Parts: sequence; C-alpha cells; structure tokens
Amino acid sequence: MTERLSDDPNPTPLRDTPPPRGIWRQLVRSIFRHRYEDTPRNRMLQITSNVFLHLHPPTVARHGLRLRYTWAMGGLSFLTYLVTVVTGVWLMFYYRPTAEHAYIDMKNLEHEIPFGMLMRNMHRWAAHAMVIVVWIHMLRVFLAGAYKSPREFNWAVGVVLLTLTMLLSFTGYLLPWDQLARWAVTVGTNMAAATPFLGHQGPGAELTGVTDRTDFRALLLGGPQVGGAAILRFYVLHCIFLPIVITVLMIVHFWRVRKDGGISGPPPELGGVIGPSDTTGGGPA
Amino acid sequence: MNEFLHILSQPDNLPIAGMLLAVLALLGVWLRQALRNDRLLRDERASDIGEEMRR
Repeated sequence: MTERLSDDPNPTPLRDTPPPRGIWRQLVRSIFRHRYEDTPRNRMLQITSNVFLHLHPPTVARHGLRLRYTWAMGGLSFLTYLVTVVTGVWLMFYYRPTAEHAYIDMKNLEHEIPFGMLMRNMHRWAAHAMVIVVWIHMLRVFLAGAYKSPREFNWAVGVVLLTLTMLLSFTGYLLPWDQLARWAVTVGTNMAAATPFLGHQGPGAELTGVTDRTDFRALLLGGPQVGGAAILRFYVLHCIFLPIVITVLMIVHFWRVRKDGGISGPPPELGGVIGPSDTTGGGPA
Repeated sequence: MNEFLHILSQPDNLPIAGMLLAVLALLGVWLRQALRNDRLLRDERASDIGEEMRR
C-alpha cells in the first residue's frame, strides 16, 4: 500500500523515498528557522518566530531596563508566581484536602517526605514574597502614572490580579489545617458574613433574606463553620479555579503591556524619547 | 509598644512587617526622584527629566 505525494502520474512510494541530504540540518532548521548573524532582521525574526522568545518585545525602552525605575517588580511577581506553581504542584502529590488527612499530610511533608520541608517552605515564602512584590509593583506603577491613558485597561486588569493574589494567599492559608489556619479563616470568613446584602449579619440581609446557612460565608465554607467542606472548597479554589483565572489575566496583562507601548515613561515634552534612539535591541518594535 | 514589637516579630508576621518597611523605603526612593524632577521643572529644564530617569 503506497500513498500518493502529489498528482505525479508516476508517484514514488514513501518507503522507497531516500532521506533528503542533510536531514539533521533540515530538522534543526525546522526548529530554528533563521540564521544567527547579528543583524536587526535576524534579531527580530528570532523573537517573532519563537513562542517563548515572543514573550519579550524585540525592542525595549532604555528607561524600562533601569532597576531604579522599575524595581523589577513585575518580573519578580511573575517569578514568584512560577515558583509557587511548581512547588504547589509538587505539594499536591502528597496532600489530601480532608479534615482527617490534611494536618497529618502537612506534618509528613515536613518530616517524612524527601525535600518536603524545602518544597513546603519554598511555596510558603514564595507566596509571601508574591504578595509583597505585587503590592510594591502596584505602588511603582501608580507612582509612575502608568494608570493613565493608554494604560487604563491594563491598570484595571492589574488591580484584579492583585485581588486574586490576595485570594490565593487567603485560600492557601487554610490548607495546613492547624489552629492558626482554622482560626484565621474563621475570622476572615466571619467578615464575609457581614457583607452587605450577601452576609446574614450585613446591612440589607433582611431584604435578601439570607441566613447563616444560605449567605456568602456559607457558600465559602460549605456550612455554618470551618470544617471538612471548607477545606475542600478552599483547596479547589486555591489549586484550580484561582490559578486558571490568574493565568489567563496575566497573559492579558503581559499582552497589554506590549500593545500599550511597553513600560510607561516620561512624555516627549519632558525628555522622554520614543523611537529607535531610546531603545535597545536595534530592530523595529 | 513592647507588645506591639513582640507581635510584629512573630514568624508569621515577619512578611507583613517586612512589606511595610519595604513600601516605606521604596516610597522614599520615589519621592527623592519626584523632588529631583520638581527641581528640574523649577530650573526650566523639563526636557532633562527623561535623561534623569534613564541614568
């Protein structure tokens, strides 16, 4: 059984086709599609024809590379997120989100599992660091006036990302299932009980008719108090729902940074320069 | 005050205490930059602000 390659009246069977000369060269060329001569065109081609390199723009404004201008907080936010994702997936292999097992599994991670203490502490401190650098990133963006046109939409996306970061931190706080976790989440979710209209202790509760079993707090906890249902809900929120949403929004965030002209800087009338003389990398943006 | 410092130095509270200090320090860095920019504006050297921020 042979397969026709084209409309050639005398097709060559596939199994008889000699391998093309320099097949390894062809294979490498199919992955790296351009040469390495350092020319503006090749630099741009390398960036635009590779999905990973394409995350970086072909040109970057000089002020955008200054540490004292950016504090590198956007990149550090992403780095700490990646660390929490990698270590978090590793922790998921050893953790069962039930009231019966959660605390024991956390203790086993610390004292029995090889590298468990290291991975748990990396996850914990990367999470702390993520909250800190995301807040400082927002402070830097605010002080640089990057919430102004044309970056209003990306500012709003960033505010949502900040909120999601705090929610990731909050939902992860319950998972060790120790006394600190249980009572911290009890306090946190009690605030949800005072949400206007949605919490049974909040203003407007009599209008919506919510009770302690049907309000926003009960939705979070799966019951009237922190228990087995709560840990499962927080686990699903922490490991599936919130990471998916935050990943999608981060993609939008990074894409908008590119589309809005890169990192904000002083306008031309204040000495800001827009164009190749203000950029590194040589190629057109 | 001693009790406040005791609470602040608990292991679980160190990150938030560190964040408060970091925010204050970095706010100071940017306020210094803002003062430099204001000085350039006062000296009618507004066009030098971009160069100042690229240094």
